[in-house]
Amino acid sequence: MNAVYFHTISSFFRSPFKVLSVALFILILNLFLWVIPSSSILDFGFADLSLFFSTVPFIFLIFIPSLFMNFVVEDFENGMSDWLFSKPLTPLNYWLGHVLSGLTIIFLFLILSLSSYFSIYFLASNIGEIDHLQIISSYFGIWVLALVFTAISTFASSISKNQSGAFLLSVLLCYFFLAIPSFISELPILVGNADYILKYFSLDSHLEILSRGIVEMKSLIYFATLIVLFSFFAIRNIEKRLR
Amino acid sequence: MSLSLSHISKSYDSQKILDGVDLSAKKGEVTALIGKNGAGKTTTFKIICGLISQGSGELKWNDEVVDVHSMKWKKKIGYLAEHNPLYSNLFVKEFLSLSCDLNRIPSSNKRISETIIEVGLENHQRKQIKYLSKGFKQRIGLAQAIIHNPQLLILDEPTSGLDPSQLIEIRSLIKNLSKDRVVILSSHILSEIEQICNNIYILKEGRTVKYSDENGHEAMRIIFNRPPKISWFNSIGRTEIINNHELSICLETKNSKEKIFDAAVANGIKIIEMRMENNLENAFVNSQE
Repeated sequence: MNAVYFHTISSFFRSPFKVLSVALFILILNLFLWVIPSSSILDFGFADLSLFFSTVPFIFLIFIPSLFMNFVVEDFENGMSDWLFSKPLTPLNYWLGHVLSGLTIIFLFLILSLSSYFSIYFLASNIGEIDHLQIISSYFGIWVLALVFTAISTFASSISKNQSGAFLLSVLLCYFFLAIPSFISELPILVGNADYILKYFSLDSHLEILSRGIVEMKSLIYFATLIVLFSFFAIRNIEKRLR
Repeated sequence: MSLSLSHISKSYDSQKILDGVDLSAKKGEVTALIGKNGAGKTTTFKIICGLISQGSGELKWNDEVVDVHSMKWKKKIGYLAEHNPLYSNLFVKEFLSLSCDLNRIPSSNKRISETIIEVGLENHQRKQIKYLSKGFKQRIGLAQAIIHNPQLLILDEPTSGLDPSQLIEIRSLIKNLSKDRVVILSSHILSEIEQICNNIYILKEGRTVKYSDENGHEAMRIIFNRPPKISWFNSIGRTEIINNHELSICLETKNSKEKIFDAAVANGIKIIEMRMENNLENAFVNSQE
């Protein structure tokens, strides 16, 4: 697992295109937060990061699938899988190595985003007077969202035949779980508790609860279920492709 | 140390690729598996390496059945795959270091240096793989296969793309490697197989046939100036008519060649051309018919 982890991380930082793409995502995020008038914190007038936390899921929607679109697909396409799996490497370790390296890059992305936190910390009318608990729980929310998207992206890559297919499937699946059930729940055709039940299956409704500083058990169970299910099927698919 | 495969079969969907492959190989010998493209050589190797599962049959290491997917088994194997997959953006040393890490070898630097010398990559160890020639890439493939001192070495076409001098070097390297491990390889160059292999298996229609060169007897092809009679040469060895002017004579004794000349002179017939028959080539062609 360590070998795959360090190899994937070093391959990432070796590729100027990949490093630039992270820089580009950070730039876009900061443009939304500080420059574009309709979404700028400076125009909004309140020292909070709610805009940041509502934008990050959509950045992740592209960023995380792009991180994992070559996972599995590339190694099976160019024959490296024969080399890798002739070594004492299990599909689980292979998956873990890739996932941990991807999460490290996402973690770096989030660390870099702390600049926004420090900016509003000092921009508040009374320095430091911001809702820390809300920010911590929102960061927790987007971190968990990153885990879910990672699991989904590895699953999409494990069943795809090429990188563009993996990317597209991954974006579609992530978007589906992020917003579609919540969108359908708004339709007036639903009766009884159907809208409430549908909302439960939408990641954005759970993120909204977390952004209020509330951590509910049902949210944790939903996140964990998605992570475990998609991870399980991703590993199973790698095993299947091998045999 | 010995490896034996018995009745290994493998099907993809409804197509049978292997249909009862039997093979045995032991330490100190080089065993070859030959066959047409698509005969199932790579599939057999992949089964041995635990990359795919066999449909049926047994694989035994030192007479004990092995689970080819176990990590314990994979630590014993060194595998050079057919198209020699390499991370071409890595440097030679880096790739070998990754190979060590995957094989969980402690103190890898010493072992990397030893292996680099063993395969003759000293002058290229700091180069990026993508800038190396096919011959050197093949050496890297061999280096990663032997870096963890495997007991079983599987080489799928190890000499493909090598120039004649590289061929000779790699051939002697393989011979050396077989001294303390089991080596199984495949190649399309039959003369090379004859030179370095102790056991040869021919794969046809999913089954293996062990090649034997008729108790080590060599045969000669002789073209005469006029049609010869078999009876003139029968006393020398088994004789077959190839065509009107051509015979194949099995050389059963040391002075068989002299006897052929004597018989030709005695019967007033001239020898136009005389050459050794490639037994393996014939056996291979016959087996595929």
